[in-house]
Amino acid sequence: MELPIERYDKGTYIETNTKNKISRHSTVCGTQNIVLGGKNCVNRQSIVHAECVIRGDLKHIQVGKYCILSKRSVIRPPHRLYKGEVVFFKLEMEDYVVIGEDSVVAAAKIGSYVQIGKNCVIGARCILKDCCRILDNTVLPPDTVVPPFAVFGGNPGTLVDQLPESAKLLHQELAQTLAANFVPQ
Amino acid sequence: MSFDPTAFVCVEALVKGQVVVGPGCVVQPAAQITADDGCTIVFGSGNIVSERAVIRAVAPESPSQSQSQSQSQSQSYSSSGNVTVTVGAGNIFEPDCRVEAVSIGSGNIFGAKCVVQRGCRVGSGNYFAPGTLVTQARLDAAAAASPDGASVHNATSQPGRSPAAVIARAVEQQLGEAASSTSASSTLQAASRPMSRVPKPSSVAKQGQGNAQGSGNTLAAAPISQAVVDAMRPLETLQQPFLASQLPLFLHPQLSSM
Repeated sequence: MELPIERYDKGTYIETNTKNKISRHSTVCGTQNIVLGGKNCVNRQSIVHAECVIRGDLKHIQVGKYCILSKRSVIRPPHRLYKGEVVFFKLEMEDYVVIGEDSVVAAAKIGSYVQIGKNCVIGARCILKDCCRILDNTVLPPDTVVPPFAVFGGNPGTLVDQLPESAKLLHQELAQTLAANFVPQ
Repeated sequence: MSFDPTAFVCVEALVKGQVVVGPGCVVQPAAQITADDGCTIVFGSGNIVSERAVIRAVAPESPSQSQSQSQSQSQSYSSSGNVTVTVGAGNIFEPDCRVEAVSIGSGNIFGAKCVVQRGCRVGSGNYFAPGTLVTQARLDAAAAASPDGASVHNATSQPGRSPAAVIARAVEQQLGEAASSTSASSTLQAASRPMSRVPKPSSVAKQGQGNAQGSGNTLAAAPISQAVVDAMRPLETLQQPFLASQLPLFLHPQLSSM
């Protein structure tokens, strides 16, 4: 199934010299704490779509390359109650992660080649290992650990399926295609 | 619109209409607090409104529309045009929740993406799980179940499938079956009961119903937390003879050491 080419108005997106695209209508807080597109990568190609909210002001957020943060998603660092105080800690997201529209992500660590569906709630301090998939409308309770190649769905999110090893290539291709199909008008 | 000097309202937040933000409140970026014309929202102290949360004071519709919807709307809507939404102290509105309640007490936690229906009156100390649809009916049912603060879970999935409901049902089945088959003080009889038979819910439910009056007190006396602890213990360690009230929740069919 061919993914459609999505054209955007060039003025509404900022394109960095490392080829990240960040919507001007997104709310990116604490830009000095955000690493978008991996650290040592020339061609990073991560996309932050419109009305996405990234809370870098709470704690560091590290996003890998070819990550697609879709519209109206909320990326916030996870928090923990430590000695009676709310403490935020780093959100690490690796490469080729696709986060669907309207999702709320407060995970601690998201591995590579992960696909998160639309309208999901990833609870605080969740750990999503490589190549896993979160279906649409899933609610993952806090501290959930999603194993590699697992498919989680439902509310509360439970294991519903397992993916074959080819899921790594499929998820990588999806992220790369979404990034490549996002072209200016 | 008035913000208390100790409140933090981020620049990227959308606060529209007559909104009074109390001391120490935090309104995070991309939050939307909207009071329609003629409506007011009053926040108490120390509330946290997370990003993309929507708190709205909705003006009541025109009389012709409200007549047709009068059955579905709660009667807390006054006929006058002004709606004042009062929010108590210390509430947490997690990201992407949609709250159109008329009054909110203190210390509630609105989980991410929960939807509180228009016109609800939310009490104090409630926890609304992420993704829940909160209607006034659910609030009343939950408040009746636990007056000092309710938990509303899982609107999208079956209501009986939340972990608390599953455990409560299993405990009730076990206690009902144990009360019907053995006497509480006879541990040997409990041990010699065939463990390979996993009690079927339908048959045990009938027994449980008959004993509900008698074992109702037992259910209250054996706290759920103890049953949860027993469930979490691996079955191999249940070596000592146990009382009927301490039966493991899920009898493993291969448990032959008893």
